[in-house]
Amino acid sequence: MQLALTLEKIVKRYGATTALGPIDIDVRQGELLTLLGPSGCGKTTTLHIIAGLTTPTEGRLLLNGRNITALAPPYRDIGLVFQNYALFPHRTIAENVAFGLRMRKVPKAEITVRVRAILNVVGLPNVEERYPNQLSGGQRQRVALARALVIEPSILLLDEPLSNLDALLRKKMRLELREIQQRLGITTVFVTHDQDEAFEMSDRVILMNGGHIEQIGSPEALYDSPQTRFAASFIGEASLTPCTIAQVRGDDVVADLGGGMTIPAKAVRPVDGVGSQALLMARPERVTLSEPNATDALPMTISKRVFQGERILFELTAANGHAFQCSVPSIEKYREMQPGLNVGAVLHECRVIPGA
Amino acid sequence: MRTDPSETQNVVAAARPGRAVEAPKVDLSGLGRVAFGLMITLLYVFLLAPILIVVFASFSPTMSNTYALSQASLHWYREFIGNSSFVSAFKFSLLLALLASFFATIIGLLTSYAIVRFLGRARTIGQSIAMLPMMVPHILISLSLLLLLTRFPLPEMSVLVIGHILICLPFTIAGIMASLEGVDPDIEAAAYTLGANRLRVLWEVTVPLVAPGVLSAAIFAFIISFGDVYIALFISGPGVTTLPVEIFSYVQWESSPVIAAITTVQIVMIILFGLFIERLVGLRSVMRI
Ligand SMILES: Nc1ncnc2c1ncn2[C@@H]1O[C@H](COP(=O)(O)OP(=O)(O)O)[C@@H](O)[C@H]1O
Ligand SMILES: [Mg+2]
Repeated sequence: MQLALTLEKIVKRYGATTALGPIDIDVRQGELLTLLGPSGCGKTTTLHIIAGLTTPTEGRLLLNGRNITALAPPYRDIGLVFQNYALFPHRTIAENVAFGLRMRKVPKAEITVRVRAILNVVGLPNVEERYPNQLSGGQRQRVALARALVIEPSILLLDEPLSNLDALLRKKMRLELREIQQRLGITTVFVTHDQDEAFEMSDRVILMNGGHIEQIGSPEALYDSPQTRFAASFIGEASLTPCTIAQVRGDDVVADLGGGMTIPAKAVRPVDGVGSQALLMARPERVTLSEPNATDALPMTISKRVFQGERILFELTAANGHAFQCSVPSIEKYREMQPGLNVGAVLHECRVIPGA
Repeated sequence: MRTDPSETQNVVAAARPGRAVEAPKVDLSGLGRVAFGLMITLLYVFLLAPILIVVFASFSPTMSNTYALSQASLHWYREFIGNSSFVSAFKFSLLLALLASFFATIIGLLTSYAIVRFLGRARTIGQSIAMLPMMVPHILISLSLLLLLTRFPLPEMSVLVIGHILICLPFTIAGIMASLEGVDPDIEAAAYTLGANRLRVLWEVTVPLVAPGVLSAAIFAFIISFGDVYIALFISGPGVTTLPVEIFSYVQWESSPVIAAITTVQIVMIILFGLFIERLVGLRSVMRI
């Protein structure tokens, strides 16, 4: 696997407070890597360090094997798209897009051709003579993308590019952005706090929290095997319950939740042995409901019901007081179930996070 | 191109709907309304009367300040143009104000850029220091410049320009800073990552975006320099001096409506500049910079 960019032990401190790191990130050639995390976790700082707008306090930055830690932004060959697009309001769309080429002293005739071509790629022909304030939010977003892409950068950086669009357009742009990225094969680091965006678009996701990396992996791996309590609670819905390990066979374990309640689960990494403490994660869509006394089912009572349209969310409470979320399709069989009803619940594909 | 000022205002109102709607409404009835109107009128009379008297006097056909309107003449304007010491003082003041305004604007631009973008937490301190010349009475500035001149015999003109730059700087800095605060740093950062070095960013992005503010600061500086008496009075020796000083020494010996004519020319000049600034500021909100 060829690496396009490497962040080595990067740290950013403001005075005495550490805003970021130390973090290590490898960006592979041609992939779309997403930095996912809550607001203030250091995503923008990381992106600005890659672009050179922020100087890291410690660490090294390698772009295609070359150390660029001390290189100023104009010489880095990196395209950055800002959250608010940051178009030049006093220049036409064509001039906005041409800016990077002009700085690189590309001949005028070639600039015209390349600007037109990239505006076609982002799906915005015939706006060259307009000004940014004459375009809609979605169109400005495409211009910002075109302006960053036209210089054919080694790496494209996108800082929450979809967060200023309305919900419908955002969903459409996700797919389109991903399609353009794959068509051009451009190595991309994408920043978002929206996990749906991260899942739909990324080859790999880096989950960040409080300036450090919680977990790196494919969207499936992050959803399926969260390694920390934070990862389990931030990504998707999950019922998290403290438990004790009762049996271990390889990564198959049995979790004891107290009150005689035991649940088979898979450990996301080796556990410390029988009797050790862990966290049991049950995903709501992996819980099925049956008769109260069905074999293998745990007896529970419906304590809450939320109708969500296409799905119904139940909160189930066990005899030992633990609560679990259960999400089922909105079909007749479930629509009639109301709080107070006794049911049997089967918790499928549970995960155990050791030590969390 | 002909533009109707009310049209411009409509565009502004449309672009910023909040402004037009949020104007506070004062509910005045009967007597209150009359009293309010009277107050406003008195205020304007108080402010404008001296100016109107001067303008009126400038068209007098004789030495007297009172005349019938039908007898109004340009006699004193001709007198002004024919008086070589007034004309050369006017030209001198013009040159001085142009130089002072030019340098005060350039220095003001760079200083306010540094204060807004690079000072960080020290910003309020930097701002206060930049505003200091405004706090010091001009007579003290003049005195210290005079001391400088006796210590180092620099050309008189250069000391005058330096003095005027000094008194203009707080105004150009404050004006340009206000414009710079409206420029999104991300726009500059975008140009920076696209391959423009810092100087290029300043020239290609920042300056065009703050151009209206820079130009109005330049005009403001010009007006301040053109109106200064103290510094010119202290610094300029025998020979050509500035218009205000020339006027000052003239009225010490005699009083004639020629002074009113000169003053009226200055007033017209300043009103034209004022209108120009107004247009620039209006333009800026239309452009939504
Ligand atoms: N110039 C700065 N001075 C001090 N702290 C900063 C500065 N810039 C960012 N931070 C801090 O660094 C942390 C990460 O910020 P940021 O990278 O913008 O987060 P994100 O983009 O993930 O929302 C935040 O806690 C923020 O307060
Ligand atoms: Mg951010």
